[in-house]
Amino acid sequence: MEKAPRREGVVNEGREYRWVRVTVAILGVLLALAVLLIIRQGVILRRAHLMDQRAALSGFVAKHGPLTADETGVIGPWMTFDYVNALFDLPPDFLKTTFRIQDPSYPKLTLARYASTEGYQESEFMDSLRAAVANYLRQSR
Amino acid sequence: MDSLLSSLLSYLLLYRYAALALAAYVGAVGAPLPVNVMLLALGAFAGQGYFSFWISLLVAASSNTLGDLTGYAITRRWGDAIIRFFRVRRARFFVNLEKELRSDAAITVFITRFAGSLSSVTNLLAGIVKVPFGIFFVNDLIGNIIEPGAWLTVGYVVGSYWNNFSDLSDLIGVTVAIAAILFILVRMQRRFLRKYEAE
Repeated sequence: MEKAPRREGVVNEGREYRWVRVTVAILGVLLALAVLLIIRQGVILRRAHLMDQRAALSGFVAKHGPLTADETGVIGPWMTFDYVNALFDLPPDFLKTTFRIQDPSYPKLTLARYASTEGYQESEFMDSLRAAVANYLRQSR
Repeated sequence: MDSLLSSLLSYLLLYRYAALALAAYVGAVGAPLPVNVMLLALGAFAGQGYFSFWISLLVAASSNTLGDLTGYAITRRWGDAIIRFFRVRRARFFVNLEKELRSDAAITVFITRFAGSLSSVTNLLAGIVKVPFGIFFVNDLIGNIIEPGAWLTVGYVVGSYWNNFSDLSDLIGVTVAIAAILFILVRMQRRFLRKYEAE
């Protein structure tokens, strides 16, 4: 008589833990899928030579120098003017002069904010800015 | 690039370490901010000389730790009231989860630093089950040095191609989260089986 309630408690707990086993099985499958996705992502990056150890080492210095005219595509509207100046090693007032920027916040001003304030179409402004930076770099280097 | 990440990066460039500290703290408390991707970008900015790698690591690690301690402290202080309100202690699963978290507190806290949003959930649970402060703090701090350090380093090495690694960072966070939950559930299952065999 005394053993029956404890046994019944363990049986009830066993029923509860059935869903734990199901959850473990589902998570196991998801984990395997996630690992496969990581491997796939690694293969993609390797094919793009972004996870190549030799390229990473030899390109370490190049990646940390100023970018070139062919790399103006990285310029995004979230960037600030002073960051773009630093990224491409531009003279501090080059963009201010080129675009006749009068906002006193320059260069601590995002490209998107400037385009919005001046009423420019963001995509057109970004294209103009990238072209201006590329032209300057080609002429000066 | 999604608008939340764009905004974060803009604030990072405008307000620098203050923005980093705030974003890391709020992300650690539980807001769904793309902090790992932000750290990747920050590593690239450091490689370009726009930020200091070591100051960034110091600010990210300490803000993360403060955010984690905030979540832990809230439930440490009010956890019993929350449990009573939701009547969670009546659930046998919760009782066994409590035992499991207490016995594997160090490894659970450490591993979940690499598991994205699961780390915030772990902070709250750690407070509820009253994981000793010393164990929580030490493992949290070590994890908060290694995890941001890893993403900063990757960003530093890959430079302006950091955005290509953002999907990978999200995948790794999800994978570690799944692995951490599996670890806890498997340990609980083993405890039950040992108890069943003893009965």
